Amino acid sequence: MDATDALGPLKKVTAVTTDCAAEAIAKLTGQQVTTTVSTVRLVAIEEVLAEIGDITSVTSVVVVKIGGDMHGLLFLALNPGDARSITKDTIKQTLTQTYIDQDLNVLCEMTNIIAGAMLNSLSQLLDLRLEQSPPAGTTDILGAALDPFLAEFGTKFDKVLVQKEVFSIPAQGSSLKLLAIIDPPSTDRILQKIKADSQNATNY
Amino acid sequence: MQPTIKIGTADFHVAKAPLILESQGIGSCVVTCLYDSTQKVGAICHIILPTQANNLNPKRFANTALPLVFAELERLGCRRTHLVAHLVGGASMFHGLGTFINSIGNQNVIAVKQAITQQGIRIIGMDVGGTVGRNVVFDLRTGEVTVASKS
Repeated sequence: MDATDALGPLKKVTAVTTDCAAEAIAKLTGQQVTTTVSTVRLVAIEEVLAEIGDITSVTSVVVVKIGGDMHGLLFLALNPGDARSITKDTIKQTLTQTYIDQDLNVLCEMTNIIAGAMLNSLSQLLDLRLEQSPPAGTTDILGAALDPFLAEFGTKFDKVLVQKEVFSIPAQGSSLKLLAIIDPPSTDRILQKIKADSQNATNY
Repeated sequence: MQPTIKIGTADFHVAKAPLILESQGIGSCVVTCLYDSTQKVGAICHIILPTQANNLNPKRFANTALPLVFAELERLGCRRTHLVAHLVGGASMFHGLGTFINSIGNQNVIAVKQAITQQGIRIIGMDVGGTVGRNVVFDLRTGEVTVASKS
């Protein structure tokens, strides 16, 4: 079995977390949300940046680190114009202000809620104890914002598990990308949990 | 327009003029631009960590990537006494997400400076630290290093 086949069982789990994230975004913005891209694969540390798009673009980014039974991070990225539209709908403000720090604060709080929804569903589904850090955000060159985290994974691992989701809000014409990056021991732990759960289900 | 080679994360490239070398999305990473004006030969080395561990990709680390770059520059006829260096990057992009994230940029700068100065190579330019990401363009015709940030 190659690595891609081995990740097959993960797709059912990530489908649940993706639905939770989409639902959280829809509730926060009051808009219909569609998932336009959804992939899960093992990626070399050096290739992760290519997963997220134009690394030179100035992007609003929020990061939440995951701890407990699983180690990784959630990385939300969207262009500042889309950030403006999304935060405007979230806090019901008029679209007359320019992009300001307040938007990043709103995005941080949104990411906190989205991460909570995803991790809560994962925790319940696989009986894992999961913790999330406070969110931290910046608006800067996309590649630069991601690279300290790749460095942290890069101290120990060649590859990481990358779940990439792109959510679109058709009414706004805006979209946001969400990367979940999980280290290999945590990926193994999740796969073992899925295997054990499916065996238990068969035993019933 | 001169041909441009883009160097990604944890990679390096050594080349001769008239090429232009470029590396983008530099946060806590450090990009080292090395240049020998007598040969018009230069290199960009984009490291993400200071010291190699666990036999991982040597191009990822300052202490293993830079010796590979020095060897390649010598192979192309450069002498270390003629080489000069510019350092770019080493930012601290986020706070509040742990000691590693806070300090890795500075650790990278220290490790690269050490590796460069141990070889007797002069550092003639540094745009390091702070909290901003950077892109760098290195013109091998002139040795000029141009750094851009979001603003």
